[in-house]
Amino acid sequence: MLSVTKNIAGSVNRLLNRLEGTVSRDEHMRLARALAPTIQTLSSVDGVSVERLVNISIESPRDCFDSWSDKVEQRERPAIARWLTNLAQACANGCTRLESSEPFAQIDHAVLGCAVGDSLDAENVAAVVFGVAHGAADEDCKTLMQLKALFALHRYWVSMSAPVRAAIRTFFLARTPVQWVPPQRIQYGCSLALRGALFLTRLGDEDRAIESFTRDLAERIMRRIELKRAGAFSFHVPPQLADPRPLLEQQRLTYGLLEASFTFGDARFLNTALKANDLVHRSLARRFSAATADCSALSNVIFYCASVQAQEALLAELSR
Amino acid sequence: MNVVIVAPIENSLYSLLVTELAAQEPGVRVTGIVLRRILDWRRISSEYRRDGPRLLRKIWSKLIRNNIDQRSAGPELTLEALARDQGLPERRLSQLARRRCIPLHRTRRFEDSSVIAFLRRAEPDVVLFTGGGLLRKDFLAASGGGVFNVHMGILPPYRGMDVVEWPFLETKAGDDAQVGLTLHLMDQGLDTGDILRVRQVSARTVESFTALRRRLGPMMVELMIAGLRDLRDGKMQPAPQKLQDGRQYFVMHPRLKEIATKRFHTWRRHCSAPGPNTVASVSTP
Repeated sequence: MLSVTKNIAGSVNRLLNRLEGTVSRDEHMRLARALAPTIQTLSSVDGVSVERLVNISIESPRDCFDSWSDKVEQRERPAIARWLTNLAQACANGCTRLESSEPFAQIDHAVLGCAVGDSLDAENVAAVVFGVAHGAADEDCKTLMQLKALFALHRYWVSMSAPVRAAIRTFFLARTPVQWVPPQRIQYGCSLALRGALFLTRLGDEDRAIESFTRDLAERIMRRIELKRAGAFSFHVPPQLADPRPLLEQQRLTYGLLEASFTFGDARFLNTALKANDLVHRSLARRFSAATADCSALSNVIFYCASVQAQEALLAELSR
Repeated sequence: MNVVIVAPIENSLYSLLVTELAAQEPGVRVTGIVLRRILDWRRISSEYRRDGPRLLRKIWSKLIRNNIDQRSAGPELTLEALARDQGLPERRLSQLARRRCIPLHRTRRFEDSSVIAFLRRAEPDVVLFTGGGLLRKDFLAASGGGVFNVHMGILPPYRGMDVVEWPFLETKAGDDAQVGLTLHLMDQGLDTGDILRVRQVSARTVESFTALRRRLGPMMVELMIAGLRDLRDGKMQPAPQKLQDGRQYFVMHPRLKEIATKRFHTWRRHCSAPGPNTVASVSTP
């Protein structure tokens, strides 16, 4: 009788897992492998790098998160540093008009890995930001400029000089975690605040303010995703932002939570990221295949592979 | 002392036992039962909005799995065994209410004005919450001395869901996981109210998380009744929680649950020294 009950319970459990959309390691790996050719087709990334990206047998999470530093070429750094410093100064002076001398165009396609396709977003946002900044009320400009700064940071936070770091820190702390993640919604772009703040935290400057900001922000994002599930990813998008890519923002948030789990050694963030990545799996499997993907899908594919790699590394570490 | 019971479903054994034992206590009068309707479209749709497909797991585990587990449990003390010991003949709250002449109010939502009116008529000194969802401000305000809840985890460190499993995932090898129960006053937050009693439990003698939860069932009843006695005897000492001493946990992803289960079994193997029986300690804050 007991064994019959156990068998029934096991079967029901499997069925419930299926209905809940729980994705197994093998299913994630299959999708990552199926999408890998997309990366090679749509970018000039070589086969070895692609293989490295879809390899989910990485032993240490450190190898996932710290390897981002070799993904930006040295020659891009001064341009971004200059741009960020100008932006920081302009904001400090209360200026709402900026010169649109963008470093983005020169940068991105040389940047390997997770930043590759994302350049399209950055250019898009930058264009909108500048378009709006000329006519908008001060507060809107400030928000959008911050958003812009964060998009720029996205490709720069692998290495930063002290003044730039200080400027970025000011950007983050100018808004509280509650402002970034109000009770009812997540602001489009706040994944970049999370990931940038996590980067600053990991630099280890003993900066308690930024560490506490980062913990709070990650906690609020986690809570929102846990409570609202897929609904959490209906982002509040600034009306001026043309062509937002909510799936990509969802993926950035998922990756940010994985980084938070690694940074704070807190499995709760991994728990939420696993659920969020299961949702991403469903969307990607439905939406893209290697044959149909276009340039706009490239970031999605790369982020997905990087997230699966990171989550498996964190799970492996937890199992030891 | 007047007591009102809040119950999630008609056939909750936990609710039945809390009601019966509270009614048996000298100096205690159960003046009402608030029962949430289960087959209510609004409840199902609002819970589906909140839980999504997870709602099916909840229905499976609470309405079916728990019953099977309780009935197929070994000789250890379970809710089913406690009900037998108490000679509890009923399996439905409405039957128990009829036998004990307790007014019973069925509701779709706890915040309905009819519930608040029912509470006012019942004039409770305390409300014993045995499940059914979050309580809002109006309900809490009408509940006399407060609402007691037994949380299946140690507060303040472990607030929220699956806090039987989480400690095993987080505890370092060689350390004891913090497992147990906490009686606390409910407020508008999630497991954030003042702590009344904490009961540490050792998991050394149980074989699985399911068995551990099964064992915690009757202890939850005991803890609730112990809190009721404290209140009646003027011994209650609520201790406010420091939220920074704990964290909120959410439903554990099945893949993490697998790891937690493995860790639990490894931990049990390493507990070679004979430990205390299931109950390790009972403390008031």
